[in-house]
Amino acid sequence: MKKHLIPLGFLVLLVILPPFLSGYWLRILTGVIMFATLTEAINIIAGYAGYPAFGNVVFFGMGAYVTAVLMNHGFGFFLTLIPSILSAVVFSVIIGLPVLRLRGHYFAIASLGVNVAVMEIVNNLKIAGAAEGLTLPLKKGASPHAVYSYFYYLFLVVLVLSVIFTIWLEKNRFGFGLRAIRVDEDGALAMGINTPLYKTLAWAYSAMFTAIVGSIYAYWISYIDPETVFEPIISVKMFVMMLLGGASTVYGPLIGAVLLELITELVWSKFVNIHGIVLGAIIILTVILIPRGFLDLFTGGFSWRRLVQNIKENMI
Amino acid sequence: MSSVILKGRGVTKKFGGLVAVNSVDFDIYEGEIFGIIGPNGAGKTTLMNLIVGLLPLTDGEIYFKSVKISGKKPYSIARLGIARTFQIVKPFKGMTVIENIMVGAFFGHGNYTSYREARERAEEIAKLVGLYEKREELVDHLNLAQLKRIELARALALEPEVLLLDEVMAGLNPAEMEKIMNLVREINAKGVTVIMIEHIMKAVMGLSRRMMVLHFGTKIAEGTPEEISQNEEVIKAYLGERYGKRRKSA
Ligand SMILES: Nc1ncnc2c1ncn2[C@@H]1O[C@H](COP(=O)(O)OP(=O)(O)O)[C@@H](O)[C@H]1O
Ligand SMILES: [Mg+2]
Repeated sequence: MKKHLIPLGFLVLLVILPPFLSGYWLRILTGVIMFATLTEAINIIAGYAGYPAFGNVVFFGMGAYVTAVLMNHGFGFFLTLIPSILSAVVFSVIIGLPVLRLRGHYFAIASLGVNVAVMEIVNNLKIAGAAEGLTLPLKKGASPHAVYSYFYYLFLVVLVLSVIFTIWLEKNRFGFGLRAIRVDEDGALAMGINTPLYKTLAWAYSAMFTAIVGSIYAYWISYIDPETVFEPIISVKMFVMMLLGGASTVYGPLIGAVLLELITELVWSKFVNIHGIVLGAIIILTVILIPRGFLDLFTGGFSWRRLVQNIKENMI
Repeated sequence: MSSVILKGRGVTKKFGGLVAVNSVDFDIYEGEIFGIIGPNGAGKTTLMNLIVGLLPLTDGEIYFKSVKISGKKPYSIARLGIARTFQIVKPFKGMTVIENIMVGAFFGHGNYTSYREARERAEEIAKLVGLYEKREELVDHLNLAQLKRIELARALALEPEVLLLDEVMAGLNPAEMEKIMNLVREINAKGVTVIMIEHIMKAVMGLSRRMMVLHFGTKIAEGTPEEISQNEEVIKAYLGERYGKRRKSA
């Protein structure tokens, strides 16, 4: 229970904060919360189950498009969440059956391939506005600040739900099954774990939350096109956040999201053309300095010894 | 005599041109400790993988209490009550000792679904195998003897009726070996049928009343330890010409 107290404090802070924030900071924090949820979701398949789902953004894009198309046909936002979730879950199961048989890099590449393929299809889909994209009905509210606060809270609710799920997972046999699969799939099989089923469930779960976030994103930004919502860099960011904060932990992804989003906003926005370089540098430094993530470095107090030890172990 | 719990008929596995297990028949009786010996590469591990379903059979059938298990998925076979340890230990790294054992409790025959139940069961088993003091340690930091115990503990947590041990003695010193042998006796006394695979004959001799010998995938002998150690073919094929000569001159 104790380890959830500090996060709970942060949650209270996040709940009371919006009235005191400028539009700029409200937008930044909303982005952080959005990415925290995406990372918490990818953490289930890539962190706990150890399947590097490099194409996870495909579910984000699907959610965004299902909501955009349906809202343009007069559906209310919350009603669109059901088909958004369903399409992502069904799609993840259908492609998961063949793709989750692949391991390691092969799975990563295959899932990325699926992402690119879906992006191309949407690019040519009339009903989805093809390459021009889609505009969504604007959310009405008393003031712009009220509208933006609305989305902030919406994202926050989804984040809290996903964190609660992960906390449950840590102490549940489903979570134990996924962690066993990550380490050794033959070992997991011999221990009675139905690995194909567990992997599929893990990815479907991941897809579901990713799609919900995609739906909210579309409504929030109110304009989407294939290039933005199927952008592979979004998956890369989820990955970096997960590794940075600490994979297969409850709070690691949140810490990673805060760190990377803030770095993005405060540093990168000034050096737009070297995004790739900065991202690459962060990946390399993370893997060498804190292979188990930021959270690990500080559990039981920060120690330089551990940092130095990590460097020794991970330099060639 | 008690009833047959595990039965194999014409069990065969080919890897391309290599016949790793060649039409082996076996009957394992409920409650016994059965030994399978043979030099390295004889096909012992492959036979075990066939029994637990990690490899598909090329030919033949395997039955567990008259239910055909060949063709079933490994996780179904494990849940039916057949557990195994791995010769090359496969601890779940990044998890603690107790968590490793809990995996077995969660997914095994006993079907402990709540965290509390699984943990309590795992603690009992940790005590049995002598890992209770280490229960909160990450398995990453354990030595080989302790990892072999993890293998045993996880398999036991499945609450199997048949336990297959793949060279649990290999790499251990005599004192550790003695402890594992006592442990195996204790497990067997609780009613678990044990199949012990070893390439060191001595390790099995003291435990099994019945054993079989594999050589290049073929069963060349079956019987009591005394019969096996007298069998000319075994002496030649398995123990080598030199040992045979030494015995004659002695
Ligand atoms: N997956 C595999 N693919 C190809 N050949 C294998 C495979 N597994 C085992 N073998 C071969 O089958 C034979 C029996 O191996 P194994 O069952 O491991 O022997 P043992 O456990 O008795 O030492 C060996 O020649 C080995 O090289
Ligand atoms: Mg072997």
